[in-house]
Amino acid sequence: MNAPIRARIEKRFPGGPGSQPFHLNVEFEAPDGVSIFFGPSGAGKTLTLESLAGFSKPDAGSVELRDRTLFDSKTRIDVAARDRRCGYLFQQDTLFPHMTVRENVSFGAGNSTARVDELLREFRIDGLAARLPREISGGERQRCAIARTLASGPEFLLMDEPAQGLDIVLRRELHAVLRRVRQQFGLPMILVTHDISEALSLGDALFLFSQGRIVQHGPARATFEHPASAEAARLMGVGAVLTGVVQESSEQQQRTVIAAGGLHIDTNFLPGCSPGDSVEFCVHADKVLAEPHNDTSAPVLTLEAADEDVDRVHLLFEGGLMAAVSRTAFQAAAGAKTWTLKFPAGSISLLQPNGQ
Amino acid sequence: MFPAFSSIDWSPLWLSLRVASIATVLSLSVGLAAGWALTRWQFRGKNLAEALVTAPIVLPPTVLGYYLLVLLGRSSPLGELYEALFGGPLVFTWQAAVAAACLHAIPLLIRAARAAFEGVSRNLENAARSLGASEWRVFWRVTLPLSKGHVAAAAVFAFARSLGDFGVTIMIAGNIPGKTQTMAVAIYDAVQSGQSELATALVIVMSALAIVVLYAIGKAGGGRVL
Repeated sequence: MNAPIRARIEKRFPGGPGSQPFHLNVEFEAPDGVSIFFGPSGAGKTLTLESLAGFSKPDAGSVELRDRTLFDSKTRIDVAARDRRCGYLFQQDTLFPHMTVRENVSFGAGNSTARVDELLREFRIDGLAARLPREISGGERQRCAIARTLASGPEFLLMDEPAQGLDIVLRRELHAVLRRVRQQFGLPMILVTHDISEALSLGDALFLFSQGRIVQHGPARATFEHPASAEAARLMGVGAVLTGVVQESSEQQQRTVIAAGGLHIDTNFLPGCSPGDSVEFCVHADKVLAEPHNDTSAPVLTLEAADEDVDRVHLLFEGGLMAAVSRTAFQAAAGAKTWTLKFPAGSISLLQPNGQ
Repeated sequence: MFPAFSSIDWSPLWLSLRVASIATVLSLSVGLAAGWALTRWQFRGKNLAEALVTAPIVLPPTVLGYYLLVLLGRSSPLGELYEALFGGPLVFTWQAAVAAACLHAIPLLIRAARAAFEGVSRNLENAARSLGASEWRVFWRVTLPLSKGHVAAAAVFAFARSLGDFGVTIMIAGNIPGKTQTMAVAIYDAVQSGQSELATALVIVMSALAIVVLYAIGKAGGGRVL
């Protein structure tokens, strides 16, 4: 069966005073469920979303939603944004400030008062129906925006960093609402985000954008765990990217050893490499086991920096290696400067030089 | 001594109010449409179009009056069309005074509408489009309500500007008491004929009107008009 959203989008911006030239050239098939557009600012994620929605016209390409062609540069089809039936959640609050909550939700619902009532109840904003957007909280505004989008009966949902600028509580509430929308409404959704945790938490598929291209795509978790290139690993913040030479590699012993910058990385068998091969590989920060120096069988590294998160501490070692430990473990280490690292299965991914 | 207010011929005031009201309504329609087009559309010659619609603000009234005479005079195609439709020439009628007032009001409203429309977030308009709204509905339900304060203030300003036009009006509508003599022309006429008391009374009324209008502008647009 075809993917519900299929697109090839090409658009050029020549650049000018104060702006660089930019070339967007992407082709993808977004499956059912939540597809994540992930990548740095200026990679072309929002422009791609706007092209799908009909807010921006590609120079060339096509956009197809199930059996409908929304845009085709060859046959000059360009369905207006209002006829695309594409729900769009913006980065900024776009509730109409001069309309009440009910008027906002009703805006695209036609004469379907019952549908509006149902959505107001569904998103727990029925008690706020007569209020203006400025009179309700940030979370209520988000729920209202989603209810408004769904009231128009969209066939797919595009979300451009809807959690941007929200505090952690509202962010979690939004994630819960989006999960519910996915379950109840079954719409294909595309979510643009800069936050890899959000991407992995909500996404079924992940499309990794860089400089106007999609450099890798696939199931969200698998894409994160198996970056195809050093660029992909860096973009997703997977961990350190190193180069080294394979010292040993034995399927029978289920063991591979790589020498990299004076470090001997001993890990499970990595298929696709033989002793003597020069390899580029990624060390997954969240899978490396780090302990204060008490085990001489593992590499000993000097800690250069520690960045505390809510429940974890991210450690940066000499040579660029990274690891994450629980706050409890870090506190128990009592300021240890030297640590030993172990590399269990899944902590090392071999990278292909050309990203294939 | 001022002449008794009851003895003054107030027809210039009523005519001025009528001319300014009609000119404001006409100019508002043209100004909003042109302001929208210049804000949202990209087309070849846009800069030239902007210069042309703004020119009446800076051109001397005599130049504008001359253009109107050429454009709407009895021997011009538009003048002939008007005469064929309404059975009489446009020049030296109160309708010509409306045309003169529009010439001042339209550029003001286009500029104000542009500024107001540019202040409305494109995302709000795109949100409306994604909810199935036509461009017409986007304009009436989203863009205009969100810029109405500034547009209303500009309309009042255009009304005031229409009320006080002298140069273009006298060139194209003339100075016919009871027919085309507006307040500004009547004041000039009173001064020319030595009726200084009458001129003073008319000036006081015009000044009071101007203050009321400026107050209305302040209320409508928070003082941010142009």
